Amino acid sequence: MAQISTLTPADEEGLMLEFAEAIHAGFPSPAADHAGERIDLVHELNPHPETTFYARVSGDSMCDAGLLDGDIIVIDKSLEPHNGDFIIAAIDGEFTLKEFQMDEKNHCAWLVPHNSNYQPLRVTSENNFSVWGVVTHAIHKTRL
Amino acid sequence: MYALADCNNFFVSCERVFRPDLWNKPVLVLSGNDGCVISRSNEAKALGIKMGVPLYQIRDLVQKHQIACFSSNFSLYGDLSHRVMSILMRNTTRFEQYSIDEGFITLNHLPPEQHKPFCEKLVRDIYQGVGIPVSMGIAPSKTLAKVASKYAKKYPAYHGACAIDTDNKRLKALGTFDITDVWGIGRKASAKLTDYGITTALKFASMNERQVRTLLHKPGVLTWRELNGIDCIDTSEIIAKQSITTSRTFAHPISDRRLLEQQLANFCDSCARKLRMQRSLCTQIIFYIHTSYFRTDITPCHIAQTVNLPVATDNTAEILSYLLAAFRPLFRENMQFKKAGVIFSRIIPAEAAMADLFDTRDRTKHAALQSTIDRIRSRQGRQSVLLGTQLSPLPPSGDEQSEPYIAEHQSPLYTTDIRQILQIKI
Repeated sequence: MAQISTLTPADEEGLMLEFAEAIHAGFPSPAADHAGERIDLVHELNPHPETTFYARVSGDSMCDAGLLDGDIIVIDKSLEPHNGDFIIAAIDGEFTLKEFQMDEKNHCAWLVPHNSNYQPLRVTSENNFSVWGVVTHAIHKTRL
Repeated sequence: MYALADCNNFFVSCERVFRPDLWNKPVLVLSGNDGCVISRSNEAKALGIKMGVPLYQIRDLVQKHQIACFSSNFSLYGDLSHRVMSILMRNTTRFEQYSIDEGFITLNHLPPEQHKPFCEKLVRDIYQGVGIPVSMGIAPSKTLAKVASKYAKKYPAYHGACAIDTDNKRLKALGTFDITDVWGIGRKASAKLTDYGITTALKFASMNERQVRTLLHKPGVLTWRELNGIDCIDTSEIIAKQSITTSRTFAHPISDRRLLEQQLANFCDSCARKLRMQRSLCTQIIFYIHTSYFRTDITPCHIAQTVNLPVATDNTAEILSYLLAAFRPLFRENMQFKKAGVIFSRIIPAEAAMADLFDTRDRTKHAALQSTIDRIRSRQGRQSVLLGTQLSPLPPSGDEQSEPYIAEHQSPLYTTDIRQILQIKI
């Protein structure tokens, strides 16, 4: 079957070259090969978009680690928690953010705050506990 | 070999991701205007709450058992669905999304003995990574994969993945599978089959092909073949055949023509966006508005019209111009319209479009405009660029009555609006 397609002249569209520089005779710009390259901060902070979530923290139990009230944190749920990681834990129906320490010898885990006014929390099999995700970055706004 | 991934109690599971206080508690998600139950947690199912039941009929139960009820939050469900589907897509060579909470993958890149462990790992990865529980069914046809996924959901011993990969397993699985639950067997077909004493999937699969053809015609034969392990259903065809529809019941009746036009414009926009996403075009639209069926004190009015489009299209503005041209002469003043909707049908793949010799519309230009709008919206949000008809014709007022929908119990847009992200007390 013959196909009929309508042809429209490319009058308005013209030929657009994004970021193209004017054409000069002589030595071409050595930067032209690198046109269009930019730092992608989202990719740096969020390499696994399917499993990454953002949250806003309130409270001061982690202030000595630089995690302050109002900061935005980046949480990767796919990561396996290691000792020393900051984690979002779900414990007895609530979320919290603390440093994670596994204590194999005593068959428990510790949720360690970074503020001397708070005590570490011991987690045993009695608790309804799970690791929701590992905190990978905190974003703190310095200009208010 | 196919694997179907089916999210368990999907909408409820989405709500629970961010609410550890609701894990292991009864939870419900309600339809638009908080009318009916559209998703139930296992705990809510155990209390005897049926799918589709209106909220007002179960108010006592909700109170007594402190059942958490949510208005539907489709931005959240859409985002979490997208995450689950992306993970599935990364793990296969061929992926087909079937619905918001189901997707098929092929396992042909793996040796057979790895199928089940691979799917079990996917189930664990999706649960840990996104927080959504998934059941997987592995089988040589899609209909059998559906059957297998139901078993995976029912019995925890399968660790989330059930395989129907031998004839023995197939016979065993179909023997206890209700014919009404078979994918592709509708209400009419299952009633017919039950009349003949065909009550299980196995009895159906054991019929001879000619009997099936006389009774249920070609679609029935396809399902019959699939249950016998022959892969023959193309889901992309099913998806293309479906119509796309958007409708709403208004919390407060609307009688203003321009307000109704705004609603219809929004519905068209949403349907046309779906058309473009699945790269298809439609050639027919149906719109309707009607007054409440339950009010006896007002004059009933039901307006519905089919509009055939001269050229297949996915362009919101074009579709809307045809719709408004048909709508305006039919509109009646002083009616209390309670519900409105649009249905896009006769959907064809974009490649199958035929040009109309007398078409005066500059399609290249309009398609460019449409894709520019879509691009801006993907960056700035769906409300960032609107057609004139979509703008509210009334000046903004603080009056609650002007809000046409009720969504009293909607959860935050945890994943799609930075102002509504999860709050964690530390």
